[in-house]
Amino acid sequence: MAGRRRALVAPTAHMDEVNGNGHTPAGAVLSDEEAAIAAVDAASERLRQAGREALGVGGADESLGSLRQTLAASGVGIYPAFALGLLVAVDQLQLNAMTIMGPEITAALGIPRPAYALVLVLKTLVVTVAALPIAAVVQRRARRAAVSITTAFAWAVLTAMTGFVVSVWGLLFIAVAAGAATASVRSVHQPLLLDSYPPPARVRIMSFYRGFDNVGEIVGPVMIGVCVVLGLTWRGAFVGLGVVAALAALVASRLRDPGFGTWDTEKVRDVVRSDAGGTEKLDDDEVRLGFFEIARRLLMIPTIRRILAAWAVVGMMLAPFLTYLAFFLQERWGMGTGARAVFSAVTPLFGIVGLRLFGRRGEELFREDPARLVRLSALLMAVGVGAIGLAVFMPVFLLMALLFGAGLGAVSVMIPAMALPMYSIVPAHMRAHLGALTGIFFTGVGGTAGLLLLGGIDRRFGTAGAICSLALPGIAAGFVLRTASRTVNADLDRMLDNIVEEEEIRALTAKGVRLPMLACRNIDFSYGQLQILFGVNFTVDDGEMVALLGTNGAGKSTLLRVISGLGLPSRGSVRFRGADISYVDAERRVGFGISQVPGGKAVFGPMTVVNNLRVLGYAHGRNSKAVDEGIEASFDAFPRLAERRNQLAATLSGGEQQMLGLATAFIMRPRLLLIDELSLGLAPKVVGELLDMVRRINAQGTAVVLVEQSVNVALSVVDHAYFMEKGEVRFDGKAADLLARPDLLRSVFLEGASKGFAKAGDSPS
Amino acid sequence: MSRVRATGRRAPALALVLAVAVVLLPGCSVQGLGFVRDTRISIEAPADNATVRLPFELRWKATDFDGRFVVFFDRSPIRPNQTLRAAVPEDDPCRTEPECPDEAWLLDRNIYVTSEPMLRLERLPDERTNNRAKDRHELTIILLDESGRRSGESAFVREFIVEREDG
Repeated sequence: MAGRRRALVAPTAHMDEVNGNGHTPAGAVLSDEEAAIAAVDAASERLRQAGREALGVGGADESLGSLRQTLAASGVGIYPAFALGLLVAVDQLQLNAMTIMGPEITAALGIPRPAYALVLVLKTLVVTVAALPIAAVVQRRARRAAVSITTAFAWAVLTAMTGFVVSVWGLLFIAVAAGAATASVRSVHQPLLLDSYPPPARVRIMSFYRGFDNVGEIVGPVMIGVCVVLGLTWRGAFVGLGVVAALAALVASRLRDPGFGTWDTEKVRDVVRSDAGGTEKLDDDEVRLGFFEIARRLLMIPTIRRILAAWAVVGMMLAPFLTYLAFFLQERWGMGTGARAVFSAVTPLFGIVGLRLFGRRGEELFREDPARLVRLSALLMAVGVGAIGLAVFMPVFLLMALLFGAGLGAVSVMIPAMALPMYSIVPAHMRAHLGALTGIFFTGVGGTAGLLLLGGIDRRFGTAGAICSLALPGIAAGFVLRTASRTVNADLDRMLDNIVEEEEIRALTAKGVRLPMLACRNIDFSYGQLQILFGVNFTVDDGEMVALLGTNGAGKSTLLRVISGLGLPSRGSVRFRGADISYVDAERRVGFGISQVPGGKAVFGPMTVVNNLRVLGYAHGRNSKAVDEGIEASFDAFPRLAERRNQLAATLSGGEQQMLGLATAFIMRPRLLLIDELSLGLAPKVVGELLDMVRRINAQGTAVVLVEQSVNVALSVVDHAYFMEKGEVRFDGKAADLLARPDLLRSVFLEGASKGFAKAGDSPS
Repeated sequence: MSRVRATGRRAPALALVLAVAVVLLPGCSVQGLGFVRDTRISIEAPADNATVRLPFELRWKATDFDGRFVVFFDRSPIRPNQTLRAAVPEDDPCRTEPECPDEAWLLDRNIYVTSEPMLRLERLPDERTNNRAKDRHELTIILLDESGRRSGESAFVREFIVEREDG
């Protein structure tokens, strides 16, 4: 039954090297096979555990050294964290200057306040959006340090240039350009930081880095105050801040990118390599995902979805919070600009203290169980926003200030507590995209929603009411975040499994083991909450023709969609010639040679037969000559189509439409043709003609997967068959052996029979 | 391979040059900009964030300046080197008049022109959005030269609160 269940390699591979794969007849030596599978499971679990330890999870019994000791042991200094921290602090300076000196700028330039506010909003928008292209820049090559340094110098120049602006347009250009430059902070900094430090130091390092953010919030107003004391205008202040930013960029100019996953995913790979007995670095021949494919891949990870949802709610709360806080302090406590600046400079101190206290404990929690760190971040969020909501009711200034400080401090600590589990479950080269996505969800989704929502509340209940109302989404975000603790370990294991599998494939390739054309492994697939496929394993070799059988609703067509890229699995992998294409776009898969003929709807009805074929050829980049040759070959194979070449496809009979669908194989010349429900609703004679053509296509070297409900039809043309039921593969073996399994076939026959009774005149399949 | 490396090295420099060009071209200048605070005007009353009752007196001290002053309440001033006509929207009927804007037009929009370093304010619109809020205002004083144009980009800003009968 489990013929090729663990199949990663071709049936001709050495069985002892490939963990018991191959075409084992159903029911034959099951105990040996199960033992082999158990051995594979044990090996996978061992590798997974080793991978978790490489990522810093587990090993809780070992004592955690001080940060200094940990860094000394790994040979990494504090410099990368310091340099990146310095840059993020400088980023805060510029942000503060734009906000605090807004009245001065608008008065000097004669710019209306709404226009200035719009400039600031546009800048925020650019920071949010530009993080995505920056992530795209670093997705193939690890040049995050170069990007960080370059953008740091750029924003130093832009900050200084702000002092020379004479019009709103100049200000807009500078704000947009500076926004684009500072976007690197969102997408690049944290992934670079993670790859620069070993897992046992990461929570403390990220807390250290976040501390600089708070330092920037404190130093910003202070520096502006110093500029005022020195008698400088906003122009002088910006030039001064530009010089400070340039110095910071200079300090950071020694940053170097350690490469993707140096301390985690590469370590996991090393573990697998050493387990496979080989230490030689293998060529990287995987199919790299494009930008949007990576973004989509990330959004398919349950923990990421939950964290991003929580992050959007946090954005809804925090993005407008600072604006409302200023108005609240002004209205409720009569604080002027200077007093508010002092208040804003003091409250981040709570965050610095909190981060200092949290670092080591956070490290321990992550080692024990990443889910605990996620739960802690959820708690911190709820407590933080609760304290902020409570602060507006305080009758005494000191109590109000303490509660605000404590609330903001808790939120400061929550960020690295949430970030480490989030980044750890994602492959290293995708982390920049994740950073950019958090910005989109925080500012783009949450911030916008917050501004829209709070405007109404402010008008009705005043500023205090608006701030208080922020607590509700904050607490809701805490609950959403807490649900991520249920999925984080499974997602971590999935990522490790992918790395392990990738390395196994590389090891097998290096040993000269021939890989099958297509290998689906442990595929899970869901439509929303409804899971359709459960751990499906499915293999097709070069030039092979296999049947995929099963009752209606068994998941056959869904599996085809997963193979062709029309559906993406929630777990497991799809490998084509050894390369992982699980999350590659369907269009690209066509380029690899995977083509699907959907059951009964494989044609464009409003187009003629010849145009159906022609458009397909042009859509896939074939030249006119190749398209014409393909069309002629199609018409040779299907003379009836030639007779109807100028007829609209919608007017063809069902059998002719299937012929046209199959004819696309002559245009596309796929390596793997997936045919869904070939015989559905067709007369036996027509089915016979179509099967002849399928045989002919297969004889030309194209591997074929034939999805059928009709056992007789399928088994008449294939040697190997899979039988699916309720989303699982129940049989994998020779077609002839399937005929000896009445327990499986009965359901199909019964279903066919019932259809036959229901549709008088149709014969059961 | 070497081509790729060379492109990699050039990219940051190119980005920097582009960034500078982008900001230099449209809206920057190096002439007539004030990098050091202008101390010719010092506002004496009301104090920053002070609470006042209407009518009240706005006073300031001017040194090394004998032109006219323009006080804008709750609005941005005109740009440097512009005349007060720039405060009039393009579609305002006043624009057809040669003397536009006249004193009545300006007063209607809470803009005051004076040669004296003081101003007595009789009225100011209520800016409160709800009953709990305070009626906050901001004034900006700029300088006019002899030709009636804004002199430099110096602007002197003060925030204050107006106490209302029902507040």
